[in-house]
Amino acid sequence: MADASIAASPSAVPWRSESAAGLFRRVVILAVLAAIWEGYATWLANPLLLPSLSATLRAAFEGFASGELGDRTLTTLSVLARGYVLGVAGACVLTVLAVSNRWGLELLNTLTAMFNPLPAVALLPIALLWFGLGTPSLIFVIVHSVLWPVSLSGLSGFRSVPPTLRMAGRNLGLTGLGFVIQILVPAAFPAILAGLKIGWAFAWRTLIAAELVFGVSSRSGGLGWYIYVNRNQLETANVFAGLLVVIVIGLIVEGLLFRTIASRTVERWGQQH
Amino acid sequence: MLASIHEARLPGAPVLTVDGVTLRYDSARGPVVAVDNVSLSVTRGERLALVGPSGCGKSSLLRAVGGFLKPSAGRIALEGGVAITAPSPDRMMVFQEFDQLLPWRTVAGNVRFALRVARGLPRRAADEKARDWIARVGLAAFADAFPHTLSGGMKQRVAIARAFAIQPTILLMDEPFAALDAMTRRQMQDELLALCEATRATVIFVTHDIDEAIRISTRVLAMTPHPGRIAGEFATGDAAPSALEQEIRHVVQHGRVRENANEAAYG
Repeated sequence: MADASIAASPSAVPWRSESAAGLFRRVVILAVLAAIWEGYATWLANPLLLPSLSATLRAAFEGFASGELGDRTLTTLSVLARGYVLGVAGACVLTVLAVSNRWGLELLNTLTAMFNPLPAVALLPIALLWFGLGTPSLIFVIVHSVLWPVSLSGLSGFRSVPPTLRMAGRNLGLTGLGFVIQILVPAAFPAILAGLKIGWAFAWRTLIAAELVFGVSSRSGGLGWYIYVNRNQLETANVFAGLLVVIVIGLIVEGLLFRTIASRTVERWGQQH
Repeated sequence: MLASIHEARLPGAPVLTVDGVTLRYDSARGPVVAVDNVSLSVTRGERLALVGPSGCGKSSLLRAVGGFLKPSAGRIALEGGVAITAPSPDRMMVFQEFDQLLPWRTVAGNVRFALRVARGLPRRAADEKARDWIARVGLAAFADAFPHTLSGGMKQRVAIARAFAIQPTILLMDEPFAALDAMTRRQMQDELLALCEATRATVIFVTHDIDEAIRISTRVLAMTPHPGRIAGEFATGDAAPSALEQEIRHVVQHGRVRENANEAAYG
């Protein structure tokens, strides 16, 4: 069949080389940016304002070697993981309620209309009042920043499952939980994944910002606190090292974790948005 | 009860009876009667075509038979008199839309999944049967491809393979070729006909294409819209296709059989 070979070809070969070319361009852009940074900082010769890339890398290396930067990073990631998991779990509950019941739908619509536009950092004063200084307050604002976007995209994912696909599933005799898990969740997965990605980005930003605000009196602070303390001590290279870690973790999660999940799922299925 | 089972197994006994079914739904402009007091029956091995213009209720009627719509009045029963209450793999539906396949499963995966869920086959047996049916619709080379890489015609072939693999009591086809180009449609009609004859499948085939209805079915019911009613019945065996097509076209357009109609054209 002539149409068959034409239709089937785009999935196989060109995709890989396209992504390899994209990676190459990205590496070149990063190298150019690094060279500009190094060159400008050397010319400026004011490490208090702008340490060079090499000084920043040295500070990062020393920070990790002494164990401090590693500890700070782990603290931040552990708080983030707890808040993220809680937020996603809450989003699952809200989405299930909204999909299965009209009251649940109205509840989710009302809550997201109220809270989604509210910046998580704006809730910090209340969090401090309720939970005091420390991890619970941080988790509270992370849950807030994850819950609404993830619920919203989950809901839109479930609602956009094509009616034909639903009927095809029910035709096989699937009902109840089996129908949800075998048909609805995978069909809504592209939107769910997009929501998880947005939720992650919100949570990461919120956490670093919240740690900066809290930093002053928290005993075991995270990366935000590391940045704050080093700025007070005018250790600008350490501040940049902390920022670099924030950026690198963001790149790893976004570019590696979510990219890998997407390329193994929604891209193979031809479902990416 | 015993008597009715024996009766149902007699050759020529209906596998499906639609008795006085009316389908009503609420639209923005008030209640609409999609199907009005329709009765029909389907015997084993028969291929019944429901043909008519859009709005004649043929698809709604098929969905009611599938168990996706509840009749507002009347009764749809399987052999033995069991009323239809929900969709079941014994009434497998092939839809017009290409998105009836699960995009996250391969071609073989789609058929295998259906066999495992609907028939409870173990993985290996399901896989063998799935690949066998995929080969029968000419897609052996694409068994491990994902649906989005296939053309529309190929997707419909997978849906047909999936439906046949389940071996339903009755196959329901809702304009499966309507979204295909003319050349592919013609080829798919021939392939479907060959599959039906080889498996002696019982089929209800919904279409707005009279020519297609005549080619595929053994009996045609012509329907007219507003509200959906059966206006004429035709056996496709003996009459010349072109004469029969004219007769059916007349019924579909005017709602009644032509007055000087040739007796041989309908059974």
